Amino acid sequence: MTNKTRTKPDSGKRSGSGAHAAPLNDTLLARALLAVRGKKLLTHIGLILFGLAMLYPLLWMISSALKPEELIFREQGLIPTSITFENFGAGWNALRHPFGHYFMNSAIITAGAVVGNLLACSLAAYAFARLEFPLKRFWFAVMLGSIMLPLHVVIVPQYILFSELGWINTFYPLIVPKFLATDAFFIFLMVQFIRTLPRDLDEAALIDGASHWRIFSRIIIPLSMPALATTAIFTFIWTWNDFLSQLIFLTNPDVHTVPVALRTFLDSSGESSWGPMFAISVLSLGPIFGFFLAGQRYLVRGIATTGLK
Amino acid sequence: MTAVQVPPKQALPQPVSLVPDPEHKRQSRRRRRRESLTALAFLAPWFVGLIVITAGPLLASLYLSFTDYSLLGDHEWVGLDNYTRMFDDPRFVKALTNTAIYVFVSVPLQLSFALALALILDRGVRGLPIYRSIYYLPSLLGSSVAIAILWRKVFGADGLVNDFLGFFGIQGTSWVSNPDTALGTLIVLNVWTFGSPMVIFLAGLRQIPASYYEAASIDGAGKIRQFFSITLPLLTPIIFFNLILQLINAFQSFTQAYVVSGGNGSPADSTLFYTMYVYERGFNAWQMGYASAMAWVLVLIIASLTAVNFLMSKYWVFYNDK
Amino acid sequence: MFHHKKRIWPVLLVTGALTFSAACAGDDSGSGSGDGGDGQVTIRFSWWGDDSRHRITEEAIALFEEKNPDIKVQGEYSAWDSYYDQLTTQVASNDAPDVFAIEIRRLGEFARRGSLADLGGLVDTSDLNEQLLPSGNVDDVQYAIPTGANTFAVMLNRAVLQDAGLEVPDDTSWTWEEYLELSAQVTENTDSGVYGTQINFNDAYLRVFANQRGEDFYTDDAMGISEETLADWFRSHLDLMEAEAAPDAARSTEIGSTGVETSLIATNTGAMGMWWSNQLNAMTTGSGEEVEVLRMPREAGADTSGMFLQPTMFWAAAESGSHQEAAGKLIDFLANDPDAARILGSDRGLPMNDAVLEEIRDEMPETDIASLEFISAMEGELTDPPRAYPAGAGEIPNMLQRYGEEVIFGRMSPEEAASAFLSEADNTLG
Repeated sequence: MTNKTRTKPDSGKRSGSGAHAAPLNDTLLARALLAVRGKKLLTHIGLILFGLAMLYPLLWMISSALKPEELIFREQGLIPTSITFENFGAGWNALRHPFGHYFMNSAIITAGAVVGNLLACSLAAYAFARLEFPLKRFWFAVMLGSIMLPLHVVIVPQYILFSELGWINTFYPLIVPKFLATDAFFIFLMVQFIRTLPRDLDEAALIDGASHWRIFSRIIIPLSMPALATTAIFTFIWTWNDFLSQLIFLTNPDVHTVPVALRTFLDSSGESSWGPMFAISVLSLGPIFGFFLAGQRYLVRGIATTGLK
Repeated sequence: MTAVQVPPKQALPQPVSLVPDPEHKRQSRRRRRRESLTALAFLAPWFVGLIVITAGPLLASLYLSFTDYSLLGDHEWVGLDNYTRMFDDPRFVKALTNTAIYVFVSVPLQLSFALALALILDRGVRGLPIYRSIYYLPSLLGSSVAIAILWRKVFGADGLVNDFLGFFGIQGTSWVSNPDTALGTLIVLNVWTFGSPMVIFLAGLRQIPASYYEAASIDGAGKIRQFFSITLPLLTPIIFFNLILQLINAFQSFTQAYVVSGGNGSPADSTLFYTMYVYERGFNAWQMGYASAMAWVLVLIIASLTAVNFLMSKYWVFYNDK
Repeated sequence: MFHHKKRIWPVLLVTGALTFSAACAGDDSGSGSGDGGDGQVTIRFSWWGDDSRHRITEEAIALFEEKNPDIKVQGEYSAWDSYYDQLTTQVASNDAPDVFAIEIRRLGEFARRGSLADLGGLVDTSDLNEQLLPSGNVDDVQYAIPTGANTFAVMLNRAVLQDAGLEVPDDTSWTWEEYLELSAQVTENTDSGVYGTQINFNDAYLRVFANQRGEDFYTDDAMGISEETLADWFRSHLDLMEAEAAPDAARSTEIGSTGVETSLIATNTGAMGMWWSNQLNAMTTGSGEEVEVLRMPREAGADTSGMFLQPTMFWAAAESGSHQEAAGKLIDFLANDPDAARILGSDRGLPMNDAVLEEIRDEMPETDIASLEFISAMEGELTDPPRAYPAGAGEIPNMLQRYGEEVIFGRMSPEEAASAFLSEADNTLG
């Protein structure tokens, strides 16, 4: 069955291509090569300049984190005139627990959310992408519709629900729903990815007598590594940065997460601890950036898409 | 879709019989029922979530949209009052206009950036992971509270943009705090976070079987031709997904405007977004009934736009599984 | 070839199980006040603020628990911007904390909707400042105890004023006109980028402005300010900008949007501004210069300064709480115990308990003593503190800012803005 993807393009529609033009003489070839290299260089210069604009905010944040607090707003430049690591120490120990505690809480919630989304959304996505069942379009619309309502008008009913369940100040309200595929965005994402996969494979497997579970776990999942990585990365980042639901469901500072704890540095009604806020903000980028770096390794062509051996 | 040149499906034995044979009919009915049951099993977690977690609060907010619920205290049925009230509410109209401008300007821009860079980066540029990471950084920062200060650093009266304009002798305003330009800076902020759709595009590009390109090369199709006959058509489901995703996200955009404007749509409501107004009515003015009604109108707006997109998608989105 | 996926499923499931058990661990500190084992009660106590406030409040809680071994207090804090989102959700869901901080804008609404417990009999109020205490009284019930007081005043960065070669004005007699002239002179005498003062749409400023004309900010259920006064107030901002006493509209809005740390005074780019007296410390730290508190200027011929003692915030207890006695004990401790005051200092306003103040005065930081002296010197000049606001008052500050911005950007005339504001406010209040 594995060889069935090695199909050939439809040769009937082939048309003349400029790529095979007249033979080139040597100087022309050299010049062309040079042009290609020049073009590549230009691309890189462009990409780097563009990258600098993208990097500026991070540099600025690091620079602010390193400035003594009173200089953050008085001093304009990117390069601090004096460097201090005070903000990091002060920020780390500013609240009831050292910040490591909040990082751990965020990590638990985020890990749960990632696992939950990967499991539940991929299952649902397979059904929508590959199976036929009654009212499929209707359920698909319901699925998409469920993410269109702003959180602000459902958060109070949600609070009442979770409070009835005794889940307030636990991580359940932030993890359990993910195992029940309430992040419908990711179902949609995976449906779209699965639908880019040729159907030949699973149809062949079906005829060989494989069950849908087998097709799902043995064919679709391995072929969908980029989609799963994307889901994991996005879930991680969204959950890590999520504020409102964590704020509402986690009121006890023992279970606070990084974003909730970070906000307590800012008090628009009084004094704000900008220095520690910048310092911890920089630190809190670490896990998400690290996860992104780790996850993007899976954004390479998977075993399946490079051809099956 | 005539230009699409992708491998056709292998000739597979089709389970559908052309002869109306009762034995076949029964078989296919049984097969369909079995498939439905399988689907139910795959959808089980989602169904449970829908019924236990999503549906309750959703329906509660729908019900409350017909009441004068104020968060504290009792509520009374007021019929369609909350819905008709929107038409006479100039701030609602303002919020809707701001959001519409924001969505229809920033989403196409953001997606074009994302697609263009994904395509450039996917051409095997050396150091791809580094570029990809750098371009993704703004998306990580996008909802940070630090963004409020950062955006002033860039678009403030003494910000980078004005420093740059100063070279040309142009005296800039405080772009973030001018009612004529504040919305523009939020659009820039959204475009600047093009990293997320870019990553999804890159993932989509990586999902295209390499065998297609190999085969096309053997057949002598050039790069450009390969792009139009393989890359683009096979990427359309992902483009479509990104479009829907960003559309919904942009309509619900809250955090960035909230953080940058200080939570009140300042200056002079020029950055008052739809969901910010919903939030303000609900949690600040304690008119949760009205807020719920606005939220449901938003659902209607997004849903109809999404529906239009789904209808249109027949003409330009190509699914490989057909 | 699919070998690596075989490892993925167990890994996912194990991680899932782990996070679930970790989530269970969080359960130990679950919400809900209740009875502990041996007759001990647990109450929840919620407030807003920054990290230093959280630290000292938790210290005070520890001391309270030491003095009341049968009561356990679970502190819950959040940032100001999100405090009411959290509190309102909890109150709406019948899960309110037993004791919580609240400010005057919301006091009336919470009290009148039956969410607050009557503190009469639960808290000893005999030593509390008599002028301030009634501000926590709604419809003749003491629903809330003020945590302390401050006052809205002009602050002055001496260094900037000296750079401009100008003298500190006599604040006992200065008028709005003099304030404008002095500010304009500062701008003129200094480098570009340094200004006399900054635009301020704080409702406290309007309250002082209206008081000087004998008008109340609110009546029982509506705005008490006349359209004319409001239009004049809006115009005063235009005048400041036109005289270049303050930065232009866009820059003013930018400066006004991020708080104390980015203010002109704190960044040494301006001489004056109007702030709450308890922000003196932040101003001094931010600028690194000497900052002075001055009386607000007066309307020529006004017979009152219009300035008032403001209850910084209040302590309140939930009506739904099942341990109101314990809640009362905690509030009593926070308001009356000198040891508590020693820990809390003037973080929630200058203590307004005479007995307590006497004890801790020597330990107070310099800026606190300065604002305390300022307030004592003004005794007799200050009008009564505001009473609980009408319902819907929580929206008024944003509304003022919105119409103020319409005016300074020239999109509405002061008169148009005043009339539009009043009609919108009338629809909101009540």
